[in-house]
Amino acid sequence: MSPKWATKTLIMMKKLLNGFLLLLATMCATDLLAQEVTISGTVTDQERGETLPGATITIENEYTGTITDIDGKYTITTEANATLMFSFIGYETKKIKLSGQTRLDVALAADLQSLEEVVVVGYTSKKKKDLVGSVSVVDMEEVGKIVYANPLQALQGRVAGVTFNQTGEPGSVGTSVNIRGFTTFGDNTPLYVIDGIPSQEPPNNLNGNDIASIQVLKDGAASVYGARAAAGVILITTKTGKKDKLEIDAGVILGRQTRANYLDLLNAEEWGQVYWEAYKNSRNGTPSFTGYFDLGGKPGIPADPQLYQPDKDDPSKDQSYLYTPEGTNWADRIYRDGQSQQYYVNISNGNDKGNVMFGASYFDEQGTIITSYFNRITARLNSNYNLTKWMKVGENLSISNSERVGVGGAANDVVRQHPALPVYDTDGDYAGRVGDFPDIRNTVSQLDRNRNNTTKSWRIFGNAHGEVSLLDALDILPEAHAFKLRTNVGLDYSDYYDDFFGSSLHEGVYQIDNNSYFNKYGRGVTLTWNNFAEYSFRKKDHNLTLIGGIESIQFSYRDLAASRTGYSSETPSYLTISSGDDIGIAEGGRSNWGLYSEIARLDYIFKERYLATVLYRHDMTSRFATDGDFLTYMVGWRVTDEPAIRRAIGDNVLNDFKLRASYGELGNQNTGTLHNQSTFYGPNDLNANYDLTGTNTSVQQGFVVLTRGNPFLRWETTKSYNIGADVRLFNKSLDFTFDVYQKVTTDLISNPPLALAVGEGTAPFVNSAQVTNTGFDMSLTHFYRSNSGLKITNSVQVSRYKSVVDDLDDRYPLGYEGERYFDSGGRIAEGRQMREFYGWVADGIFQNTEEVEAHANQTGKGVGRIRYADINGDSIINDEDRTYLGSPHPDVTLGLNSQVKYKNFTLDMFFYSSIGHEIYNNLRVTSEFAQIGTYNRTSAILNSWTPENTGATVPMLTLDDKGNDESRASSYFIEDGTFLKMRTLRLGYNFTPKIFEGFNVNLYAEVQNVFTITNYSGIDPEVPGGFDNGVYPLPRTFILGLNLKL
Amino acid sequence: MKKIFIAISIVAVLLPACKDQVLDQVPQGALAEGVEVDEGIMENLITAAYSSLTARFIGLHHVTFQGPTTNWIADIRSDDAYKGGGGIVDQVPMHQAETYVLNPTNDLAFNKWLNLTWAIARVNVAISNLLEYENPNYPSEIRMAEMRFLRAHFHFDMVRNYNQVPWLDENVLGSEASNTTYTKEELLELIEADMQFAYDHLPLSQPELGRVNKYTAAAYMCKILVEEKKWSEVIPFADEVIGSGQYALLNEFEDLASLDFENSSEIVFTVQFALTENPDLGHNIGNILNVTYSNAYPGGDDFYLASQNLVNAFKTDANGLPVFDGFDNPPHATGASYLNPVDPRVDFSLGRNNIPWKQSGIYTFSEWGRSADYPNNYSSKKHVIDSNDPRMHDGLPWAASGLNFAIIRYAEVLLWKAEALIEGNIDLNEARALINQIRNRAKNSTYVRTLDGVSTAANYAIEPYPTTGWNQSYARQALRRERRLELAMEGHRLFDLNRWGITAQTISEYLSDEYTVTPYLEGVEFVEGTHEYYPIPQAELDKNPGLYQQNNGY
Repeated sequence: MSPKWATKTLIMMKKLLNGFLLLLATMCATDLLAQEVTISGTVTDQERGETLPGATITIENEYTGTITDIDGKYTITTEANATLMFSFIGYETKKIKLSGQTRLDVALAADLQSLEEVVVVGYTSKKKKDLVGSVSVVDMEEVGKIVYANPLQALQGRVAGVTFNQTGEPGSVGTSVNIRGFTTFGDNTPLYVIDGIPSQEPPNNLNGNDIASIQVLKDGAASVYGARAAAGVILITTKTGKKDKLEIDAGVILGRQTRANYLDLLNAEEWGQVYWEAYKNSRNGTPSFTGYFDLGGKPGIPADPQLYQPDKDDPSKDQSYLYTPEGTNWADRIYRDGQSQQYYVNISNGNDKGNVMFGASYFDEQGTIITSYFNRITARLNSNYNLTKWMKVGENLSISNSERVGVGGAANDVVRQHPALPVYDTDGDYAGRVGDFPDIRNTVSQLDRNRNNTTKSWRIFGNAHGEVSLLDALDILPEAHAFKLRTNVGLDYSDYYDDFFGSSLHEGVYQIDNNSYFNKYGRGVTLTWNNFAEYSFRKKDHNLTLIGGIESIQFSYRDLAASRTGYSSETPSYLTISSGDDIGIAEGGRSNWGLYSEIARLDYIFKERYLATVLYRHDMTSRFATDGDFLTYMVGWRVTDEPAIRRAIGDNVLNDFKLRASYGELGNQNTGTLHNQSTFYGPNDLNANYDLTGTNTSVQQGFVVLTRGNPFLRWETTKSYNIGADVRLFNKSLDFTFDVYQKVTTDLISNPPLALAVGEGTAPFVNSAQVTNTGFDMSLTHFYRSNSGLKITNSVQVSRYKSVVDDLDDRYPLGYEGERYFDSGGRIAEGRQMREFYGWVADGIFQNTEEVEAHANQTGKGVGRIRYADINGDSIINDEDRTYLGSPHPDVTLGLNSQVKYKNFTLDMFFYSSIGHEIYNNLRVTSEFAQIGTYNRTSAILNSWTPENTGATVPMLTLDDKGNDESRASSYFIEDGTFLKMRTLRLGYNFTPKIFEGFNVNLYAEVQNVFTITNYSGIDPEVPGGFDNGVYPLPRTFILGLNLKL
Repeated sequence: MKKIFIAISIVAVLLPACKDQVLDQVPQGALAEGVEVDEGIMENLITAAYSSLTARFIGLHHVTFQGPTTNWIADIRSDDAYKGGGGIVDQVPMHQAETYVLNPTNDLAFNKWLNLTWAIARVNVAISNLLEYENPNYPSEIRMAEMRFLRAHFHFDMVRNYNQVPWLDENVLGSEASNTTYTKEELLELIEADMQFAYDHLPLSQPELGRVNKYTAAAYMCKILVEEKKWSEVIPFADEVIGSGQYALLNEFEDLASLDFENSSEIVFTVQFALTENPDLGHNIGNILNVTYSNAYPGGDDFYLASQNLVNAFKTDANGLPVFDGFDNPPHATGASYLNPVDPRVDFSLGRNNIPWKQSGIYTFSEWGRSADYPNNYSSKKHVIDSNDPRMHDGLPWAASGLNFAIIRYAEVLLWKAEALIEGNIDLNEARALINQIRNRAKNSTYVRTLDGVSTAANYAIEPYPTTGWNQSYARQALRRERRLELAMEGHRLFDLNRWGITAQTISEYLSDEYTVTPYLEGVEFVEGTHEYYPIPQAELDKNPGLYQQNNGY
């Protein structure tokens, strides 16, 4: 956080405190008595002028009132000098002090952020003002249309404390969400609860347009989801039909993606020069490299392309190759302008008997790498039906079908592909590597040959629910009581179907005569059933809700795969397993787990301003032998609802002030299945079978240890402390939310590598560590509305977390991964942040022999080579000299959303910044070191060290670093990843054309990934996990959208 | 009606929703410990132990070719072979090994350790279960003998590669094992004891060819006792094998690399490979890299190339006897003609330019296909079948087949006995007869001929050693050369040098001029007392703080 912001925040906090003290001092005032009058009038919508049925009119400081009838009319009797409060969900509450009138017509303005709004939280719903946990609510109506495939992208920059990692691969492959740091060594994915049904699958298959709102439970409030809540809970509520209102929402979104940033890679001629230089530096003799000619110590590339006359069955006969000094710009050959299109329609309506919402959508995206593709069709039907006054039933059902073609490692391959290799030979067939060229297949060919290798999947997600208001049914208790029974049965079904055809090919050394076809089918089903009883009691100052219930969840997964070879035709329609010639392989597996829970929840509100919640959950899981108990206490105080305080401060400055505190326990069982089971044996076809009978053509099955269990394994338990405040200021023009938290997770489950001497099989999982996350989330929103109709909303989200491993059982050393450059793990060590980078400190380059001799004993040291620091000062460079090199965790992340509305125009801007994190740029191992393979390099290598160029940071070119091992994990590869991105720029125009009476038309244009400011040398500083190994880069996207709304 | 609804509602809410069914989950596709072991499971555990001879742990590629049972990567640390492949940047850890830039994080050291420790763990799982398993109809004692044979074998390979290693048996927790518990001598005693048990309890033959028998154990006893230099004890075990009538040298040397002679009379102990429909399942994957890139096998990875020094060692004098002094001098010419005359085994064992490759025509190494770092033109022939053989796998993995890899062949038993006779000064003449038996087989094999069949492909000459001049020191020299030539590219050389205590001297001599052929060897240094063995992998040291002592010099 910049000092300026800190100062501003401090000043604001001081002002608040002063005001608060003043209130306390003036709390004793007395009411005046007055005579009663009867008032009547109509309540309408300020903008549209429609009447508002069901609006609430209450008398301030009393708890009586009335509601408007179907025509928006009301009548109320009160004291002549009373203040009436007019409120309605979604509208700003208006207070009017009576001054003798008997008729009072009120127009309510739509509230930008209503506190009366009902928000779904664990197994119930509450008014936003009554929330005591740290809950962020994203109203999808405000977000505007979700132009992304993944609806969760709407959370980006709107919810403080939530970080979002994404790649550019269509279908949001590789996209992940993280809430408030890291509480487990394993999967930190939050739990998703969609219409009350929990799911651990990210909702990539959900159509964003079907979603009404998303709530993020960040603290102990999540604890009601117990065993799976430690990483936070994201609740997704889909839309329902509104009463007596036919709504139609339809539109089209078209996008075009371009590659945003890229690396400067060498061309064939530059590569040759680098190689020549490296060879000369390494040893005497004449360098030779397949494809380059020696022109007296310089690489020669024939000016006239020689004919490449392939004998595709015998590449050893190929003596020449087709290349030019420019060679092939491989990146240009696989990147293209992508495009996307999306169509959607939602129709809903409702009446006294119930409501219904139908939604359908089609999404299609062709990514910026050729052949990459994603499409999705979704359909949804949500309905609710009131069977009787006291009995409701309903269902939510969503079906989606998607198909995608991935690119595998193409984004990484193409950086390393050799520039002298042509894409095609002179016959127009795909060419391939020969001789010394890097061992990477023709990337264009691979993508092209895999273009029909799709993953198709279905997801059916839905629930059927029912609710009985028992007391209403029996008419046995007064109105103040309610007793409801609810049941909800959910199904989460997903399957996928992988098709993979490996064609026969003859590309240089890659000679595959036998084509093959692989098919895999997998299916996962989660059945959830929860039953709840809810008792609530409201009487004047008391408002109590008590909920108890059970939830049972059962997951099962199975898959089946088969492959054959020898297909006489490669036509996609010909390919089935049966049409293959040779017998192939068949594989299949199953897994399952279950969770059974007892849940209780108590919410108590006293005088509408003292709030308390207790949550309890008892979890039993098939994954652990012991049960888990999770308990949470949350309290809140709506300070500004204290009548005395309200009277003292008035309505103008401090409109709303709520203090919250919570302590909660959360669990995590997301560590794989059945770790409580003791060791089990099973077949391992690939390495345990043996030709014991000596047939030479068949093998006998062998059993090996597959998994080692730990019957004493316990839950990971997170104790979460949160203190927060929600403040609304200056005539509701400024909203401020601040939360500080600490989360202490004990019994972290790890799977420490076993000593090899123990043998094969998955190591047993053990409870081995404690991690503490501390941090704060802050969100500040300013609303401005001028008389001329200009509306400006600026919102800033600031978050910080720090995940520190406090304790690590030294019986289970972690983080040792050989620390080679291909290892992405980072290190887990006591007293350090999670997965800090660890390795040697690259301390410049040896400039002369004196420096080399003066330095510690370092194998391979020499002039022009990297010098590694002797950290422990023992004059030898070895493993003991490794140290911490940086952390992938940002010091702070910032999101800034800015919306300007004027007349029919809306301008949205979204900036995102991550400050103070490091990136391990692993691509530089191959792109800057001539001694690592014969891969292509970036232009950084052209500025390598020479006796003349002593200021260089890239070491002297060589083909052999003589054991200096410069690819070792070192600070050489660590870079500052700080960045500022303009994520979104959107301009929209709203109008109601004459020909579509009643329809509101919204036309908008949007640019995503507008610009990035960073010093990072890689393609994109947004690197999941901070380890850059060449991900599918985020594109720059241009979007045009049209939305019609009735 | 209302009451019915209400009743249903209450019942629904109170239903326990099948709690036990939800929570009671068992592993799928596997057997949890505690499931009663039956004969099928027992046999599967034993098969898995045998399977570890293929060193096929974790996945398919890197572990097997970096820690293979064939020990070819030990040969690249000797004077016999180069790493090969796509230049010195291809498989950097191997290049580091062949230039003795070995450090405890080297992948080769790690993967060999992995393959051996996991193999021993499988054997111990089988042994623990055998001890519990009661079935009068099951040959428990024989199976126990087989398992102890394997345990001895894997420990023996571990000792040879790492010098100081832990002893792992069914009573030792792998997590508490230490390499300082026993001295190397004590370890060899333990290995010997396991092998003696195997010898005492194994039958003379087994119906299944892949299983070991009494003679296999006897032969392995020779191998262990030679290592221990217990010369007089070697001889009765060798005689047991020789006198069994089950074993003999093949008539044709080249048949050793043929699928048709895989379990023939010369094979005492072999790793059984198979080419199944899924080639990944059974083929000889440890050699996946070692297929030459030539017209014989387009697409091979071209690793494991014979050194010039090894090729020169095949040089003979006019009497058909090896050239001992200055065989590697003057600086090497290339081509077929300068080795004139030459031991015929050179062309059975190695690919040489312009010499026919098995039945597949002339071998010409591909100039553009071979990396410039490896300018000589030799490769290894022993572990690949003829490329015309229809039993060769088509496509990736190149040149894969079910060709077995012999760990002990009968020729080596003869050589062990000869070594014992010479070193123990027991009977030099009998030793000479044994060596000559091997030389005569080579002499009487059908020589490689030019493609037109008109003449032999080179001027081959090999003769038995005469009695004249056959004293102990000459016999020792002859025995050592015979092992090098007969067993070339079979993964024994480094261990032989270590056993003879001449590694540093031999490698230094080799490096002193080999660099004129292979420039990257210039300046390479072998450190005596260190580079004979791998370092203990750093990962293992880190996982067991305090339990392992690193080898000298690492």
